[in-house]
Amino acid sequence: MATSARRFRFLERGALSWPELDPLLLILTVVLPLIGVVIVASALMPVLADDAAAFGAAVLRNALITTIGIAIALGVAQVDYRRYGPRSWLLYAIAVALLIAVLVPGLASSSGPRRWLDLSLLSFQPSEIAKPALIFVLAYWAGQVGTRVRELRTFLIGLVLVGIPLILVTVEPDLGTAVVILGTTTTVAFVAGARLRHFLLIGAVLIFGFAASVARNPYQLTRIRAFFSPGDDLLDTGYQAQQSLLALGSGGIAGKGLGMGTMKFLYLPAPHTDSVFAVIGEELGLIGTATLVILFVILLARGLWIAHKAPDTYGRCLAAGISFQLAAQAFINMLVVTGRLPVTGLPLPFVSSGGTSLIVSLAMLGVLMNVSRAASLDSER
Amino acid sequence: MPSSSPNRRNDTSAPPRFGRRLLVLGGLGAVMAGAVGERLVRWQVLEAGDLAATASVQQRNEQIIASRRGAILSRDGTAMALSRQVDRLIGSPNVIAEYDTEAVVDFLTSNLGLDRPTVLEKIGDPSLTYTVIADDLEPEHSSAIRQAMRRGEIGGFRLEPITRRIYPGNYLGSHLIGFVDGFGAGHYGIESFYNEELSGRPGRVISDQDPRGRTIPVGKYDPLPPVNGSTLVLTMDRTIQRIAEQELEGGLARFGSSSGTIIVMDPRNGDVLGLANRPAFNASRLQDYAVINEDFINPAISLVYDPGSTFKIMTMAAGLDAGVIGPGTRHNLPGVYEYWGLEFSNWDEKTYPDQDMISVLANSSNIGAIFVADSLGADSFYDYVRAFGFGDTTGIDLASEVRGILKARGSLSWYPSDLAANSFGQSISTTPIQMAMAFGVIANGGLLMQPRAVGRVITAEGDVIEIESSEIRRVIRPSTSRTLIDMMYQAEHSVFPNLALSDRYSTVGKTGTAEISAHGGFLPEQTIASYIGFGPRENPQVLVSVKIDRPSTGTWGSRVASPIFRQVVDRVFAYLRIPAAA
Repeated sequence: MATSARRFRFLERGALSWPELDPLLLILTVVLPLIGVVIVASALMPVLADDAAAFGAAVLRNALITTIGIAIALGVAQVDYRRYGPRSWLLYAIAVALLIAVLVPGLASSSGPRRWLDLSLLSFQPSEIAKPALIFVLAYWAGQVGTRVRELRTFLIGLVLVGIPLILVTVEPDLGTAVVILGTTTTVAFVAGARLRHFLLIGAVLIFGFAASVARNPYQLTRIRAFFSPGDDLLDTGYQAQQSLLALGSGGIAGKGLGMGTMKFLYLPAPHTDSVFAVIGEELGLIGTATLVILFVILLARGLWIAHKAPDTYGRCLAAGISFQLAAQAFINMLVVTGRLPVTGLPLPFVSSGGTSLIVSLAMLGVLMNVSRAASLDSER
Repeated sequence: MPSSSPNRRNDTSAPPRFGRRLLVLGGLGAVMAGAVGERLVRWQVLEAGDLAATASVQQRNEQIIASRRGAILSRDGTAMALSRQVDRLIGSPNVIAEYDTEAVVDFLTSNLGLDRPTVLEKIGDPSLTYTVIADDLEPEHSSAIRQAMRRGEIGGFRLEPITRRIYPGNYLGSHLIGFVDGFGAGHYGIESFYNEELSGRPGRVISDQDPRGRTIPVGKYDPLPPVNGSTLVLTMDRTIQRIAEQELEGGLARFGSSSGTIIVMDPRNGDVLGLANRPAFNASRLQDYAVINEDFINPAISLVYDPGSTFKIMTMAAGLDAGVIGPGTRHNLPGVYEYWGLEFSNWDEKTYPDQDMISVLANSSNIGAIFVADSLGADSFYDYVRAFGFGDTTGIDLASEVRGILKARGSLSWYPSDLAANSFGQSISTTPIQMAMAFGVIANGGLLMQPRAVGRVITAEGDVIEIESSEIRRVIRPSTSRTLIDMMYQAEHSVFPNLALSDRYSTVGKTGTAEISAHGGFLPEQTIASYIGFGPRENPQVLVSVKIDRPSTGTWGSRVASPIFRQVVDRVFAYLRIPAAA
């Protein structure tokens, strides 16, 4: 009883007061997932044609997960991020354990890359846990080491810290997530003040890791080749990239209207997840896609502002890492859909359907809101 | 600023170059966002039109919806040709193999009436994915299969709707009707001539489809329903057609011939009441015939012959109408007569002095016909011949009518002696329908009618369109027609025995025994025996033309064609309740 009373102390103190939440982030927390729920329902329309019950179930499930995600975000926003600082090591350990579990035959999904952990009730991607875990652990650790971050020894320890999950994700293989993890951790190390010359080491790791991954999975090279010559290989990856452009072009400036898109009917690959931005482009036009870009620009700008105002280095790194990771992943997804980057299989944060990714993204937004609260409290003092 | 621990104090100060590095991150984000924006403007504004067009081409699909072909009915309302929707049963033996084969075979043999070895042969090989098990499945059979599949008793079957053209009459009227090929196009007869009206206009559905060919519900959907074909009602009466075919077959058997034609018409409006040819084809067994087959050709409109003596009626009509002769004009008829260097003779080569025109008809004198034509002069003679419709198609609404061969006076192939030969129906090629229509002029008071096979069109919407009979031209005066009919009557009754004359009905007509021209000469001992006549004499309502090719037991029209004519008249007139002559 005692522990549960302590756990909910913030409720007793009336901590759940809306004005203390960052208004801009609060709007994003609601608006982005809401856009997602609506557009995913539209993108699932091909399921409706075959099986109305399955369509209803999928839409309801996505709406439910989104609601839970928003609730978690608002809940997390109430918990002082400094309270689970030391526990980020535990989170890190769990993430690494799950990444190893995914490679164990029988636990992972049977075919293709071993990304999903099948727990019969819900299957989720451990790499989605690894992303925030690394941000937390690095940010906290950066706060601990302070200016020693500029020493090579510290940097190498950090590199090992990042390297373990990174190699595991690469082995899965999930190159897209590996790139995101690499980018995110680099971001955190960068704002933490690490020496730029040390980043050259990361460059070396990157090249080595990429070469290793391609050697194991030649299809990744095929994807990259297909990207650079969309004319060949029309039935495979080049075809998918081409379909996204057709969807964007069909939408034009004003779009065909919500629900009126035709490209989601088996032309676009994964219209409710990876290609959801193309569905937005076709149905809501440039107005819809530009709005989404602007929303993520706001998220990044606000996040960096919070980092600037955060009371400690842990918070600074957390805010910068979270906001840059979310925005960068969004932009990368958009650049894939618009044909600037090869197909990676990254979802659009908050918008794409998908349990783990959606909940984790929203939870991280909650953390960002909490850092924002701490920053404003700190500046008031 | 509260600071409880040194660690905490240390933590509160920002890392080195922190602000600058945040700006670098911001800048990086801005570059990515800008890159996205540049792409969006390019795809959604600058190249949007081209991309949308490509997407549209990729998705758009046009599906043709077949229209239903109209039926062909006889005048009395019996279907002579109709289209039926049946099902084709297609099996996938590889899937069927997953079911209880015994049960499947039992089902097919007991429900579809297929025999066991056939079924086993068709579905026995599980390496096959496609086999046609049965065509022409009746609706009750189709629904039995659907139910059994729904119950899961059998599987691996598919029903495909197909349209079958059915000809319940088989041989009956097959030359009039024609047939439809496997692609739905009509050939010969009504099926070809009225192909457009019968087939209607197919519809189509333009829709957006997904890569698997399923219609996208929110995509474009633009249906254009088909216009079904019209139903045609023939002028042909099934009973009269049957009489014509029976009498033709009986006559051919009796006189040892293999081919011939009987046409029964209403001379007042040109209606074809019956049109029989032998050989004919069985429209229900088209698979038994070669693609190009003489049996498909309708000799009544598509093949020509030298009509012979029946043509003397035209010559006589012209002479009477022009006034160069009268019924009482008398002339010496030598047995052999030289005209422009050629010798012509009567059939018996006997000389008949001082004969009137009635006896010219009664004796069927070639020399008499030459005398009339010569009296007319070539210009006038050929004007009349053309007015009777020779040298041109009759315009009957059946496919592939030919115009025959009438040498034009003054043309290189024409000799002055041709006038003499033409006057008794040689050196001129006509179709049976041309001869029938020319006799119709006499029967119809001098008016040439356009023959027709279809009298009424019923559109898919149920609108009934009556087709008016149309006259082509007046050829001779009504008085000429009356005079000639009287002459023909007298001539007929001066011949004994006259096998053409019915005991009950008063008819007039003319025999013909034509030599068959071939290789620039005539085939010896081979003739075409014909008789064309009409009645009742006072008010002609029915015209019958009988033509028997190369009879082997008798060569003369009076022996061969006349009795067949009489049989047809007796039966058709009785069927039409035409009162017997007083």
